[in-house]
Amino acid sequence: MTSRLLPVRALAPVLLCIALIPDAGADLTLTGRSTVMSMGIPVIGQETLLFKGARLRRDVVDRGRAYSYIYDPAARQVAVLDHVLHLAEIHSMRTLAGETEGKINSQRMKLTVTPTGRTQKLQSWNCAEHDLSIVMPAQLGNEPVTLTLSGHIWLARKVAEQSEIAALLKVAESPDFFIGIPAFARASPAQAGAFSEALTRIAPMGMLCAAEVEARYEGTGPLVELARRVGTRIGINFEQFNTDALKDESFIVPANYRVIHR
Amino acid sequence: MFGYMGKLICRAPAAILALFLALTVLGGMYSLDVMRRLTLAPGLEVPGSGSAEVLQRNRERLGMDTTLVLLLFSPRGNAAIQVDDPDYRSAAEAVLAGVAVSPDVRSAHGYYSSNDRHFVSRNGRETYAVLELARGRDEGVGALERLRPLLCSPLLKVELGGELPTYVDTREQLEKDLHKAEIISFVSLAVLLVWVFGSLVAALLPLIVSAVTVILSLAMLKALTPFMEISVYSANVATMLGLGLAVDYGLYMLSRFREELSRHDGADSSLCATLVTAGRTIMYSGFTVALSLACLFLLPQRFFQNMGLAGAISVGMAMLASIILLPALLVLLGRRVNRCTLPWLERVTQRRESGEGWYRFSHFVMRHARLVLAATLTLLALLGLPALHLKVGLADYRSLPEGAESRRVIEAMQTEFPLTGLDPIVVVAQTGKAVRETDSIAAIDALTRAISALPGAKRVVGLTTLDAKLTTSDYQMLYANAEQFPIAAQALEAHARGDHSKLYVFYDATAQSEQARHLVRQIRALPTPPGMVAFHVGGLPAFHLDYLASLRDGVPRTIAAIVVVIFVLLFLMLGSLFVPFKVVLTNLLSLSATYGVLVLIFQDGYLAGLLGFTPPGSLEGTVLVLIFASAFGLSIDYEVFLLSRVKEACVATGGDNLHAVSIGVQRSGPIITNAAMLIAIVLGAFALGEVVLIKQMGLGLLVAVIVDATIVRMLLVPASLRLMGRFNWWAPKPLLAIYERLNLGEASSQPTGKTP
Repeated sequence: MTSRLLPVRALAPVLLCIALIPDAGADLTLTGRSTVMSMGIPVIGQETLLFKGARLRRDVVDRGRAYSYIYDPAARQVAVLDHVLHLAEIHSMRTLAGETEGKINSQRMKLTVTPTGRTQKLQSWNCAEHDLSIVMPAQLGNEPVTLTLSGHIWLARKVAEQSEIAALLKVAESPDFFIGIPAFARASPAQAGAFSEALTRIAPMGMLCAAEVEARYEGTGPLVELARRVGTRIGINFEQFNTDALKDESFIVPANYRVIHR
Repeated sequence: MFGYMGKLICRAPAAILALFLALTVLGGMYSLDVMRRLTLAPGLEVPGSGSAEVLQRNRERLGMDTTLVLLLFSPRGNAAIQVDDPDYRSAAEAVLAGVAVSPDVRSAHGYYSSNDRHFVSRNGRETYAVLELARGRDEGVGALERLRPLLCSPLLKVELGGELPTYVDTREQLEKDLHKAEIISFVSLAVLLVWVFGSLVAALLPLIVSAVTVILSLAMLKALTPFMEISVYSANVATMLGLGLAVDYGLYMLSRFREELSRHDGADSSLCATLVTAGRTIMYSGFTVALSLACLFLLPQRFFQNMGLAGAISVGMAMLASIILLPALLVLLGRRVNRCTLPWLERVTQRRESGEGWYRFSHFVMRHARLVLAATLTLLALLGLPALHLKVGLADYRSLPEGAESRRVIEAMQTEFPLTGLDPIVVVAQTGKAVRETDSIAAIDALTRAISALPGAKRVVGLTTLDAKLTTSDYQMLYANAEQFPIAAQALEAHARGDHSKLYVFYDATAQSEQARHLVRQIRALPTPPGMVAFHVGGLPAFHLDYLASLRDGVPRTIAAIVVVIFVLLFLMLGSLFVPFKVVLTNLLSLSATYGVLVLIFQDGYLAGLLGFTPPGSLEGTVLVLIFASAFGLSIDYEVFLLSRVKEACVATGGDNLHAVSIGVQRSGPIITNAAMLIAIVLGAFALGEVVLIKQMGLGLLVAVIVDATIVRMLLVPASLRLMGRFNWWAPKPLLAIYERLNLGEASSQPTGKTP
């Protein structure tokens, strides 16, 4: 099995998904930015998360291209919208969950989240900083490696808005639920599974305000050495949230989009 | 032939009129959408050149047919916000998020997606983003038009700049200028024609010929579009030349017809005499002008070939309308052509048409022929002197009026931002194997390092410039395992397909500068690294270099061809070797004077304030070529009008040179002056345009016409004809035999006696 190094666009949403932990309610919109730094070159994307009941929509603007991911647990599907091509790829959550199942040994993944005592504000939220460390076995090309994600996350505990996403959190408990990037799950099911696992463990801790994580590979092969030199840092920073009512149309595939079932 | 044609027209004028009416109506309906059928790409690329190769490979091999557009953000009004303020950022990102759903936008990057301070102005109030826009068959014009409505923000002003917006702004301004020029010239022509003919009916006829010419020319252009790409600028040239020449020819035919009416009893015989003389002259003139314009086909760029085609079509149509439609109208009208005379103009018109003043003037010129010749040659040489330091360049944003959006953006970029890199040099390399192979990466890296080492290269961006710390072998491993390294996959996506990849070379100078062109030459001189099949250098500076080189190579060949065409046709018309030689020489003098005046105005900037433009510091190569071909054609037009009358008089008077020249000047002087005045109105209206390009073209042709109709035709030609005496009509016997056998020479409608 090969795994992808630096799941750049994939890691970011996984961190974002930490935001959809708690429990039930109405609508919530979080807006911010994700930054991926590799070889010293930052790539900054605009991120918006929309929660309505058990449904989630993630809008991304990545270097001038707009994409959306619509997660619909009731239909057990993920729709990936390419707004430029007017194309919708529909993925089955059950299939995606099945592909990652068994590819990760959760016993071997080590997750540590330690509060530092520092805080920062996001509107009315008081976000507490935590040291984060995730260590998991992976593979780079044919080289067995250890992937370490380390850095900080900022979590807002016991805020009222947690209730807005409770429904989604509830359905996330079911075994065939999948949240993440479908293409990443297919290319690197082990890592996708590991991230889901990490997400599940961090979820009860609070709403995600921000995260800054560095990815490192440990091993002895030449690819690991190159990966070390390339280096990757990932950051998420939400700047605004609101609980304005969202339209149902935002959570369905637009009528004029060509649909492909994967 | 013309006598037979005259009889045919006299027999069925109504049928001919109906035929032209039907053709014009159908042509008008058919050509309604002509502008949509013409291509927006001007076609200035030089086929086979490095820059054209890059364009083609970019499109066909790399599938990256895109153009860069700049979005300049600045606070509305005096809002004291900086680019790092959250509100500023949110507003700019909202605009970028809006365009990110456009299928025309391939990518966008700027300060907010990269944190790169190069995107921030020195005062921190402005920032820009670079959009990669699909170019498509319309050069990206459609994409830009679809983009504009998406670019609005209540907090920020969003302005567009770069090559494409400059091109679009230029086109829009040109359309406005041309529309204004057409209205001004048509109205002025109508008024002047009434003044020239003193009759409303007579004044209407050249306008009818002009309208038919323009409509049929546009229809013809559209009919050719399925077979070749024709630029939208062809329609402008067809309109301008068609309008001008149709009025010229109409004027010449009509004047001769009115002259013949006073000698003949009926309209039929007057028309036959008109066709045999003026009709033949127009045909010669038309062929000469059309063929000299067709010589533009010798230049490799489609733009010039399109201009030559459009010019030749419009001249051909003007010629046909003048020698077929106008005669039919004249037969039907007969003496009624002088109806609706304005009494207060009648006496002035009669005195002007008699040409008595011209006769006396030509005698004066010929009495002092040596002095006049020396004075005129000196004057022309003085006017032409500034042309010795003529600099050929290419139009840039300064061609637009100062308030134009794209010009403001480029000026802001140049003054407010540290390094813009708007128009990088683009290098497309073809490797022996797929780009991801180790040999290919080594070759690309070798080329990248060689270019980076050149003194003018500020920064190189390509597959092997991701990180200065990485070695060639690191890059080889990186791309061999690209699926493991998203940054490598992204770089491949951005820079490579199959065995092709590209590099961007940034430099610290403007795209039009000699430094940029020097860098292109240096890159082209680099050896092809092992593992690479070839590399091609393109981008705006390379295009400039290739374009100017092609003009240097192609223009002398084109000029030589035009000279030969004119020489041969004038010999066939006049049976003389000296006169065609003199014509070519005087035309070259006249043109050098025109170029001299253009250098003073547009290069040195005299009168720039008065005429309201920013001196570009050089003359646009395209305009110089077009002025050469058009002015040469127009000069020939007048020369043919004059010489045909001189030759006609020479035949009629049995070779009395002095008398023949005086008669020729007397008969053609008023027509040439009127024609020049009319065409000067058309060209003057074009010179009023806001775009410097069209101003150069209009003013250049205006100067050419004025110099030609005054200094050359009124002074230089009569003086030189007088001095050469009988030698004017000399030709070697074998050539004379050919001339007589072909029998294409000038005919005389009747013996010409002394007029005054």
